[in-house]
Amino acid sequence: MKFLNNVKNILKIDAKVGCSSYDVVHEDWLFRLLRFKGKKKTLRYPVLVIYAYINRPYVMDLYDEVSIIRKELNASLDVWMIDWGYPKQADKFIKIEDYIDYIDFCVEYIKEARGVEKVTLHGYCLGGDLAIVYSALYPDNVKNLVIQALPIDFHTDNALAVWARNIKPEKITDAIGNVSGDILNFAFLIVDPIRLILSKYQGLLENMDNEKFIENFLRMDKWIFDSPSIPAETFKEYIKEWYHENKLIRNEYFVKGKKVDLKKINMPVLVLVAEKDHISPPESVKPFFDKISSKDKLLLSVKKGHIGLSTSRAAKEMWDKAIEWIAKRSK
Amino acid sequence: MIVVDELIKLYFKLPKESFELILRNAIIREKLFKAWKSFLDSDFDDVERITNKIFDDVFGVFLRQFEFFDIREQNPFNELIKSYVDFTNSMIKFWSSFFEVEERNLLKDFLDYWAKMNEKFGKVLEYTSMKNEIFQKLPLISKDAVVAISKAIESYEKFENLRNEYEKIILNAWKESNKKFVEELKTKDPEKLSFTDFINVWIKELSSNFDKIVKDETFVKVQSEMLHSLMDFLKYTRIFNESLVTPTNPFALKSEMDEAYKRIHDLKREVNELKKKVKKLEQKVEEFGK
Repeated sequence: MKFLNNVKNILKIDAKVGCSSYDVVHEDWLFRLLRFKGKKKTLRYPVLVIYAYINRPYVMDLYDEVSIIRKELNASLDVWMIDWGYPKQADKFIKIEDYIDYIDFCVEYIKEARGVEKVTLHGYCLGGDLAIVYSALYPDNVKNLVIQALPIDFHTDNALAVWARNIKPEKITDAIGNVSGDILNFAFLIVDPIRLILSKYQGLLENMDNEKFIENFLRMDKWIFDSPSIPAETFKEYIKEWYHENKLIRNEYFVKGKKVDLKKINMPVLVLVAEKDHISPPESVKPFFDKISSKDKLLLSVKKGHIGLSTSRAAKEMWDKAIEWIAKRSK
Repeated sequence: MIVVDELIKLYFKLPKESFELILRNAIIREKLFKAWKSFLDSDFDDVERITNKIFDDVFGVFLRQFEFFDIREQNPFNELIKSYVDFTNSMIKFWSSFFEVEERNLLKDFLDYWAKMNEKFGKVLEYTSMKNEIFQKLPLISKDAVVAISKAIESYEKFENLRNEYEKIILNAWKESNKKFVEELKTKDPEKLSFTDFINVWIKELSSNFDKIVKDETFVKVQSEMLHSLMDFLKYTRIFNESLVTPTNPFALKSEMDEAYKRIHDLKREVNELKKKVKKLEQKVEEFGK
């Protein structure tokens, strides 16, 4: 078969992911705190990158040309990152409050290590929601809040949100415990089958003589299907309280009895939005912008999708502005 | 020509999903090439026939997953009871050789009973409509086990019906898109429509139809209820398995392990809170010392 034969070209390509080196400075069973190595970390306030608990954080450091971590390091920032690990069945009782507690631990750790009183938080996707929850609960610890490609108003009409609002999460967790990566991959494919099963791969086969295209495609696919399980308790909580009841944007969400009041977010805020995002559409984050009391706030957008916001070369201009914004407020 | 060794290398190189999707799409592309050739010959019926057949190549990604849950294939307690029987047989041998227990015939009978019961369950599950016979054939198992297997079978039947309905909806949407695609092709000049353009027009037609379907109320309801009934089946099968082996089971059950994990996590949270309190106290003592 001619087209099947072309698939051989993939064997020639070595698509490595993650281009920046780091030290693991703390481990807590499942969670890890990483600190990226950089020659110059002259800016006063460090950045803590909080990734989602879906997929893996190396998408922010995929390869040299598009690495957001590399851009932050080049701007003389001291970059730290939380790795939420690969939860096992023994971790099924991890709740969202445990993620918030570990963020708090990391912030205190970094403050002590750097001798500063605040840390900049940079949250990605659902990690952005965790960063928001933390910033509302501990505003005095947060220098700047940067959030990208996150849903916070979950009552939007994109297929993923519709799917999530119609599932009973306890049915899944009662049956299988943690929601495995395989099920998550399946769920993502099922909400956009034509683009994700057909169109994307026909695009690859169209470009089988373009090594650079194949290399970047393989990097992305490796990341997309590298899906850790979501702990059962976390899955139940965020599907019910965020997707079903939309508690975050309504100021009705509580962590360990403390109300997450978005008005308490008063630090400088930068929101990065992808206009073609099918997971976190722009309308799912814009209401947040009006709810916070920060005076210094900026929204930047790019005509890309959820992942393209981080990995596309077309987003370079937006990232240049974003890094400049962070660096200016980190002195 | 790609050879088996290369396919195996490719499998190990790629995520399993990428491997499957790339191969499926290479095969789909081959079929689309034939469809494009038919279009060049203005054989629109053949275009529709070929594109309709691609349904299985695309949705097989989802639908083949459900085959794993085929109750007749799965029969999970066969293995469970077999392990139990093997284990207990080993124990009998151990007891016999060390203590020369006279009652070993009694234990053997007990094990024979389990083996026979296992056989009956296999039959019950092969014909889900026979669920009521559980009560006649297996009067000695616990009530919890009977309730659980009954619910498992009900959930499975519900899942089977919903799966058929789900397949019907997506197949109809697929065929409808291909009809529209062919109508669209009739307006195109074969001389000017390249193979790539041909694929793009097809995908555009499918996307616009499926974008509506995936948000359609009926489809979403069928999809979520199908998932729920499958999950119920898995849950009640596990409860049944646990109920079946509880009285003499020498291993920790999943629900018991879960309880242990929960307690560990609760304790960890308490330890973390205590650590924070100790740290604050230490800081206060330090400040007081100054």
